[in-house]
Amino acid sequence: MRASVRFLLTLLFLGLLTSVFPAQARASASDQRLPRLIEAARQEGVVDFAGPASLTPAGAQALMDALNKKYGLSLKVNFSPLTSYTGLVAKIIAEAQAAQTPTYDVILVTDAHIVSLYSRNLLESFDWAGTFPHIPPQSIMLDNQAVMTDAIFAIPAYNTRLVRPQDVPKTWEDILDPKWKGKIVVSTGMQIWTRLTQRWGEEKTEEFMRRLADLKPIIGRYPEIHPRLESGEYAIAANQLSPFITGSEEKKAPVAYALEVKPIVVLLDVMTQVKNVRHPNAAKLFMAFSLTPEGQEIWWKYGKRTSPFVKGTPAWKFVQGKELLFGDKDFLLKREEELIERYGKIIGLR
Amino acid sequence: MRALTLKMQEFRIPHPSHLAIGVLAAVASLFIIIPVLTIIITSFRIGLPGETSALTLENYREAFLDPFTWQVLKNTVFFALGTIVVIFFFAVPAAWLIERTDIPCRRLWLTLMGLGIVIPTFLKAIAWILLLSPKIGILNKLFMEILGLDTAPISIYNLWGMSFIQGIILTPPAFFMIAAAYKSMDPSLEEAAFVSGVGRLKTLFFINLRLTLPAILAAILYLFITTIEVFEIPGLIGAPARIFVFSTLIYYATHPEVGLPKYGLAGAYGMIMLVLAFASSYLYFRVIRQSHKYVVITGKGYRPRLIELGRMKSLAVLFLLFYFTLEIFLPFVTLVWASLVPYIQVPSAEAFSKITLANYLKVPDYSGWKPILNTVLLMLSAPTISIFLSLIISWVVIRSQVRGRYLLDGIAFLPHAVASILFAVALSYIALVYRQFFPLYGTLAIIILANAIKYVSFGTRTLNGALIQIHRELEEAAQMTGASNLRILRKIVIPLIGAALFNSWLWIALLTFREVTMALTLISPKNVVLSTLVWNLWGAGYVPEAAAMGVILVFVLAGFVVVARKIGEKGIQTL
Repeated sequence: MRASVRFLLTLLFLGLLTSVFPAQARASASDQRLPRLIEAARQEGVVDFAGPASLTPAGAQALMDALNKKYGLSLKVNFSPLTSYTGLVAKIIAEAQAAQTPTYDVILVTDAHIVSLYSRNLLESFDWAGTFPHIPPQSIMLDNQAVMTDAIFAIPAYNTRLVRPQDVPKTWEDILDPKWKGKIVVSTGMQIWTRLTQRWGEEKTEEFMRRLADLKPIIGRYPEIHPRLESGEYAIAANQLSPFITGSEEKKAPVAYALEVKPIVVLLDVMTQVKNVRHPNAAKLFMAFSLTPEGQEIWWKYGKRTSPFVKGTPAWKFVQGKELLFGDKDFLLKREEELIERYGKIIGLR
Repeated sequence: MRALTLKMQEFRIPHPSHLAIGVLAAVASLFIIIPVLTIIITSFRIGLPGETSALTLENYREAFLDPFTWQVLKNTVFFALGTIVVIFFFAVPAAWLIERTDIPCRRLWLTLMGLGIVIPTFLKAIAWILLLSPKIGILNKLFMEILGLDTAPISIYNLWGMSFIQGIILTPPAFFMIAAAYKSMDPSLEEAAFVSGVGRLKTLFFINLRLTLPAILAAILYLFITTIEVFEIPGLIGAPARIFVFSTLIYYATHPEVGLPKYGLAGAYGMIMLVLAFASSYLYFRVIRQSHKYVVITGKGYRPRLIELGRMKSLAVLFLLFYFTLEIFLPFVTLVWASLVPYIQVPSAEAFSKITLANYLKVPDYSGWKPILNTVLLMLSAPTISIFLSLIISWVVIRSQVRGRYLLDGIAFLPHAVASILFAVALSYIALVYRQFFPLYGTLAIIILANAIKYVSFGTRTLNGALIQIHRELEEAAQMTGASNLRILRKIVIPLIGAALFNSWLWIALLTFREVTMALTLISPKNVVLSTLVWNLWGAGYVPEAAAMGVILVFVLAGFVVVARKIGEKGIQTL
């Protein structure tokens, strides 16, 4: 009896403490959580990571080297470079159904791809803000089940040798000008148009797509249309993703963004951890490290992408004063797949 | 011996080797049948393999009630037939010239035939765009200047262009499938024709072509299905101009932008390939049933001798040079060019001023030792397993009187008749479900297995053609002396078809090196191979870097082909 009274009093005291000094209590918990996580990661020793091919094995290794330096560890990274996220998502679902330990500890996919995993309740939740104060709150997504590591932007792009400055599109509608007939390339990636539907509505976007199809554009995946734009085979791309444009700028290729077009569509890259992975702690450390200034620097150097929410990064600088359009989680869950198929058919895809 | 030949007794496989070979053939069949059945079942379900859903015809409704699908079928058949025409325009004369005549530099041509495959197809597609695009094509610009035209005279963005390029690319496998048949051909019939005053070309058409019909037909049917399955040229040259074929539909169904892959829908599209494969297998059976017509190696004397080309020699060399210019020289020069510039551009004075080796210096960033080691293991083991299984199957099909042997041949053709991505998805799913019994999931072994099974169809087509040419009397004579079937196989059959075995092995090794679809589907951190790295570089937009890696690989693989050929030829001589 006396023991239980003592236990209750202790609980009451702790409760009082945390309510009177919540920040300190959180800080204290955070202080303990991170060292524990680091120690557990040390025991695990390795991270199996699947991410964008543009990061390259050298980029993944650079991330891990910097992480090891920061936390005094000697973790290894096994990197699987990918160019198709849908196959990865399908693999993860199949593994979960077969009760197989996931192949990957951490994956990086887009905000559109992660919803298939989120809606099946396959992702691990974690107190990111409590453990890693450096992670911007806007980067923590899907009920603590993912962190947004970087953003990719999409607007029309053009070949600077073929398009005169006065002809550079200033609005999305400008790319529908008949003068671009036979000179425009359109990506098979319909996500941009589904995101714009959030702003324009379905009727207007469908009409836009019909007029775009009337221009008889050449269609192809982003990596296919880009050499065509750089080589001057085509003058303008209805949209192109920022890592390709950044790559062109670095190589001094004659390709540039039509920067006056707004809104700029934003696609988010998110890192997440599937439940029951082999190396959960090393994985969390790897995810969080990607959002440190050092991590962002490496992501920029190799993957040409950074977070607009981490102050000072190229993406942060790029978005200043710009009108951005993010995907809404509910919209992505309910409408995106169907709209992608519908717009694809209009443009000539199956 | 003569009496034996006249009786034409069918060769019967006794125990225990009969049993051993039967068991091996059955095991090989199971490895093929189970993934194919999984694909068929998936086509009747919605969702991912393993997801519980009722059987439905929904995928077939979506695929075949859409008039668009029938337009795609027309495109596909046109594309496949057009490709076959181009292939055989080059492959048959090339095989005859290289294997049956005294054309100079024979080894060089053989090595070049094996080299084209090393250049990634997407880079070949880019090369052809740079050469023949109506807007920037170098050759088009040249023609416009010379002929004073306002518009480009040639466009590759149509079915003709697609067929031409695909045909050029697929000529080497056809060559290797039929070259062995020409190599082992007894020249007595040719000599008889010459003595009778028949010309060389007439002899080629009426003697050589007819005697090698099984090999040629096998190659036609094999490559017809290959053309239906290949994605790169339809994807890079057809789809941008909205010319869709089945492989592009399957690609889009399995690689949607968001959501999940529609393997069921892709499976339904894939059934067309399966039906065509069955139809072509039936045609093939009809030919190989008449196999005695094509026997050229008998016990009475086998002495292949080369035909003298005489004044035709320079014309023959020009023909081969023309082909290799299209297949290797132009794409390779483009590949080298792409690897030396910072971004893809048409050659110009300005572009030449930007030439750099930077792309080569970045190559180590993209690779590491593990993918190289994995690729070496893959290239050595997959063709060995594949050829072993192919030899067993071909021997049962061509040499035994086992009931259902032609069905076995049909089964061997099945892996080729299903899209690689679906085959890999099925194999991955089976490995996942049965991982406790067969711990292959996520390992290099599953990629080796996938390639070994996938290319059994290539191996059996080539070996069937070679085995058909050997008269049974040789084996019957050995049997009379009490030799076991395994000994007959080892001492008589294998030495006689050594060239076909080696060519098939080498070609499967090169196909395995280049195969990317299955490797990407079965990828894990443990089994990354070089082909996926090159593909990923391209997918990430690093085209010049992919080209630099491609150039390095061309030189490495050229060395591999030369060394393998030397070892192979030495091996054949000692057999």
